[in-house]
Amino acid sequence: MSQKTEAVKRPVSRKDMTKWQWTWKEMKANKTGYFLLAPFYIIFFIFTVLPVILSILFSLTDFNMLEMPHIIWFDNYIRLFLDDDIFLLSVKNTLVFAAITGPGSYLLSLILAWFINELPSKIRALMTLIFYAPSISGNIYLVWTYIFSADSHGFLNGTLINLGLITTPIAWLKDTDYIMPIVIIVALWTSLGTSFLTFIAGFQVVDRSLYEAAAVDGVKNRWQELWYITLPYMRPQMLFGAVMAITQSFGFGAVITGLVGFPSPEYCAHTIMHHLEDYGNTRFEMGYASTIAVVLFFLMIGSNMLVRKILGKVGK
Amino acid sequence: MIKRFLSKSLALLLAVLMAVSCLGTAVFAAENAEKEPAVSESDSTSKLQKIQELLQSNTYAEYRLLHDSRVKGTDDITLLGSEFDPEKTTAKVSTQKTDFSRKGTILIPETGDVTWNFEITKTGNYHIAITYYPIVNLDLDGDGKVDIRSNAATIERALLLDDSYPFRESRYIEMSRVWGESVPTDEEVNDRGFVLDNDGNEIKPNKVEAPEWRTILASDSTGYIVDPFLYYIEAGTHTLTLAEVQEPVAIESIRIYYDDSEITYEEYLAANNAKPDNASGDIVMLEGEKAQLTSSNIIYPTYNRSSAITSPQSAYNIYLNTIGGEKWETVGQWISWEFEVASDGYYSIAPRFNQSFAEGMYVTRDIRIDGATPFAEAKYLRFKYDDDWQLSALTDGVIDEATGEEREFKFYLTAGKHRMEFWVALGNMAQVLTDVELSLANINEYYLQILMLTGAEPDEYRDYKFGQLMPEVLVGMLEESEKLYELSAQLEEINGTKGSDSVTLENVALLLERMGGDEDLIAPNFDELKDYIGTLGTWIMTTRNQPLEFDYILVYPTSAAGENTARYLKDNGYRAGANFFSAMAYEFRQFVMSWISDYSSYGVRTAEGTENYASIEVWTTSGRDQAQIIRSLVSDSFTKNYNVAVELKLVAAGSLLPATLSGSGPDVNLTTTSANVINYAIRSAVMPLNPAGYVDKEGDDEATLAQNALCREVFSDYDEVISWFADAATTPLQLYGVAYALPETEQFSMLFYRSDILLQLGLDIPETWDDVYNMLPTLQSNNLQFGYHESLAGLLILLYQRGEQLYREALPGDESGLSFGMQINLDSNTSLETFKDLCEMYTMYGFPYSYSFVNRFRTGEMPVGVSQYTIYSQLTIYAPELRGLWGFTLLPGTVRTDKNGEVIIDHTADTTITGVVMMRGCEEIKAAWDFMKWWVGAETQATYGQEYYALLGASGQYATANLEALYSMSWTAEEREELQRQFDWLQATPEMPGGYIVTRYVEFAFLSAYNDDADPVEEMLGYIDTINAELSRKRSEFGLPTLEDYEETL
Repeated sequence: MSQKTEAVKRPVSRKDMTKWQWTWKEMKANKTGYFLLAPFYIIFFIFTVLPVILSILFSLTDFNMLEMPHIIWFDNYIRLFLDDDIFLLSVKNTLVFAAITGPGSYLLSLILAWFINELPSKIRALMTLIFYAPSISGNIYLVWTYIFSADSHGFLNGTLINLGLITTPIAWLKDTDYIMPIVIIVALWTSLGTSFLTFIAGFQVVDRSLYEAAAVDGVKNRWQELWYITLPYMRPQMLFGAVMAITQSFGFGAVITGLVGFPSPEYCAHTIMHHLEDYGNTRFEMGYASTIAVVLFFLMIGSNMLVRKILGKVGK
Repeated sequence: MIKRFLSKSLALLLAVLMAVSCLGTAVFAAENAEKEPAVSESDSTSKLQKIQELLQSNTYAEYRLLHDSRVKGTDDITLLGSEFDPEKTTAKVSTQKTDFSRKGTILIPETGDVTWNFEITKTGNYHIAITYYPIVNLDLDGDGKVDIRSNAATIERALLLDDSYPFRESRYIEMSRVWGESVPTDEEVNDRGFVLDNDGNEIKPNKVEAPEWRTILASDSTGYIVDPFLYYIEAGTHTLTLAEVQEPVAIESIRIYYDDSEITYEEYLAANNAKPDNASGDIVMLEGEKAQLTSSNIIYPTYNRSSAITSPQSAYNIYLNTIGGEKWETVGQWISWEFEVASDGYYSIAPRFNQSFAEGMYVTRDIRIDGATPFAEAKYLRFKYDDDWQLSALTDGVIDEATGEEREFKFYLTAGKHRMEFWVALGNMAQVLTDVELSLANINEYYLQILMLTGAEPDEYRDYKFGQLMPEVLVGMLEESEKLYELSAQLEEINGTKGSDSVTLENVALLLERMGGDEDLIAPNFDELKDYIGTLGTWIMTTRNQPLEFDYILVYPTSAAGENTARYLKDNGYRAGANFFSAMAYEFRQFVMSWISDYSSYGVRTAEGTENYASIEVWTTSGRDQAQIIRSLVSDSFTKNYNVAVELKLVAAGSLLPATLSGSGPDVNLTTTSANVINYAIRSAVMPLNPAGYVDKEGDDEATLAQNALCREVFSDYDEVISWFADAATTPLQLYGVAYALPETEQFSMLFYRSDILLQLGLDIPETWDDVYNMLPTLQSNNLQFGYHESLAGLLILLYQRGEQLYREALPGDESGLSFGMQINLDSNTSLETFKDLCEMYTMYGFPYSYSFVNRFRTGEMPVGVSQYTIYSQLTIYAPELRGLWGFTLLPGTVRTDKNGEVIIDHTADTTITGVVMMRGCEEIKAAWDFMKWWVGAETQATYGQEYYALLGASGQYATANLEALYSMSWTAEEREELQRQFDWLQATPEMPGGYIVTRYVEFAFLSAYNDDADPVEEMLGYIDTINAELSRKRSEFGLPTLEDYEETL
């Protein structure tokens, strides 16, 4: 890698220098690369890495957003894990929510993409649009508030009353019995986003000749084709899709708030995101909110690693 | 003998009893229950009775059928104002001389009725003409105080003959105000008389009242009846009463006579053809925006940048080049222009106008020259729809048989000055609108009748036997269907095309035809009928509006124009649209300018010498237009008078926090919610605003002491400032005696009721919650509902009415009062009981949990309910068919014993406040404080309210907290009185550290009670500890005493 220059008589070897000197030298040698990398890296550092570091630092303080913070070390963490029932509840809700919507939306995307892939190309384009539309149209999930309106003239209530199934309107989005299932349905509906598109693209790039080869080698049905050829072949897309699905499922806070309000009745749909919002926006306790954010951060990294492990087993 | 005496006295007793019972049930109630407090009990009954009278009176159409309109009255009586009958008059009439007084002038304040006596010798139909002068805040005794207060609203009176309404429409006689423009005195204006901003754009002039004597014939304020009212008066003595509705007025005389001066166009021509036609001179061009007077302060010069040749137009600067548009669309509004012609003769009038508003329809104007309609057809001037600007002589759309084209009117004018007034009118649409509104009223009636039988969601599979129970409804629906088909055809004929509006009518007609024809179809289509009723209401609302925008008006000798008017005008340089190249050039310049111009700084004006002024930065999160209003208010009346320059910034909601965080926040922030005020306050981000916030403490350094002394002095008038507001308004903006914001807006609930439905059901307006409970069976057996607030909003009202508080009072012995707010008071016996009552309203009494109040109120499904008072303007605008049939009043109250042991009805409403805060770090404290005082002051708030209203139309009700400003807005006398009464019964919830937790848990408790029938008391008790713990945690964060600190004492 290193270039020899006229000035240097003797070749420089790695062990002549300290680690830092060597790095500096290498960087100087590859300055064009670093230069080209710089715009992205600076932005990435300022807007992604720095906030993460900052929130780890803030999580050790009692920062209230308007006054100088004091360092209180691990008090926030102790309080979070030992003295905050609602946090534990929100962890539970988040995991339940993520466990259903994450894999749910993932499988749904995959299966739908597989089905749609079988269609003729014009219909395929149309179907793709139909399924993809909800995820690009911003706050479109708010149509569900009309469907599940507590008003006796709301769509669902009105229909059910007309059919004689209920006599008084049900407050769908304010009743703890219904909230979780409803938000999960809505989340699944909106979740067919980027990963869905990647899958469709992934199905397109599978080399057709592989199927023929596999048929020669004894693949008997479409399922085996899918499991042994298609899926392993599109592992990168699947990994991407999985990461997206998991990240998305942790970040559905806005959809839930849009549907059932904030906070949800009896915290029944209170996720870690909500807990974070509660302390950050309502109570102005940024230190504590940062603590929650840090925990959420590690939770997401953990689940991503888990997903990678699982996906590594596809086709084996 | 004795027997006879007894029976006589018994009869007398009975007679007296009957008489007493006539006075209404209220008197009875007062006799029965001595415990009941004597709070104006007959009030609600009399209010309903008045409306009942009105409802029972005929419409004008019915009245005309009863009285042959051909019988002309021959008397001509002029009643001078001063000839009123003092005995029957209830208003405090003044006859004092003023500078505008004429012989017989009387000044009538807003409240009270004035009655005159007169005698008619010949039975017949008469017009009634009123000569009036709009009073503008009048100081009678010269002591500098206003004795007769006026507001910007239209003057309105009810005209009664012999103490009753001859017909319903006589309840609304409007007398328009007169507005001119203020002449800028100390500012530079351009040659067109407009003030310029920093970039050379013309700025809208201020409107000021320019009252003058005017004479109007009593006529329909909605414009549905085109001709003035004819009152049928029999020979004999009568009384004429002008009853209070809104605004004071001066009356010179009332003339009762038959006005037959109106002639047809042909008669007009015949009469004038004999006179010489010497019309001469060039084309006179009147710029629309340079109108002389208008009827309303919302009609002012506007700018339209769509056409390249609108006069004047520039791609670089904004010129105020038009007038009217959507601000000039309501019947009764007018604009006048003054002009001069050289010699006697026929002249034509041709405006360049834009009517791209009412698609597929035409709008109507009514021209009056020198105060009189020249001929009958001049009331029907048509302005057709077109995307582009149009230029044509005035016409009524009638085809001239000779030329085969629409005839163009000519007007015979004498040499000299003239004044033309263009009035918004409905023309041929008037009849259609009247009929549709009548139909709508009937359909509404049928809807209600069905609703009362089946409920809002009828069962499709059940046989309700409509045919047997309400045959008249079925027949009625078929009749209305037929009528609507006819109207739709009529509409098509008037407009010449089948537009979307006639299709709307046909759709409703089709549905009614199906429902009326087959009773089995009523239930399944019931919901649709409700939607259609809404559609019809909206249809009426949009069709009534007659928007029209004028660029300029041309007046020219008819003879000069010859056969081809358009040709003549074009030759003289006047055309409707720009030619292709000039339009192209204009568009291109505009496109280029869009990169350069800073549109957001439109209207910013730096007065001369402001460099030396103190400068403050103010933030607002309202809309761009609102910011524009504030900006112009600032430059008009603040910067000059206070020597303070204000930089007003329009920011996105939620930017205050990050900005404060980074130290780049404003000096003053407008419209801050009370929760945020306290949130910022406890974190020392805003300045205390009263001297109590600047107490010297031991160990303060020099700088702090000096700062404290300065602030104590600046804020020394705080107590005076808060006297402008209701007492409750400052509660949520204070914490432990230190104030952090000045109140800006204030919202609270009032009780809205539909008089017509209550009367039909024989119900009274509920005065207490017991009345509400008593009316529920009647309401519910008719499938109607009562609307109320759930969760905390509903709880607070009930809680305050019972004299209970949300937080525990400060502990005894705690002099600092800091122990207030440590503990929630929801576990007291009264609170728990109140919460239980609230939950039972929903679980036992079936109050609806979620609903749209405006919709249900309009359809009658919810004829009575509690809602924010600002919904008033929405109902006024969107439910024109309900005019006069609804009202609002005090909240239902709770009967209780107050502190002094007296029994009272407590009508308390919970109020929410937003405030203006001064951020810490503000360097110009004095300047910022001056700004804040100026902004929340009565004058600024009233002007802002008016401008806001002008901008958003009547749906823009600005909920100012300043009492004087609120009362000066456009309310009828009765409405203002109701508001004032409610203001005596307001209470606000103090904002406490950790207060957010209360809303949350009260809602949780309420929802479990509502959804799962859980026991409300248990649910609430289950949350008390959690609430108190959070309050303590939050308090200890800010070093406030908590419950634990007092553990030993408790």
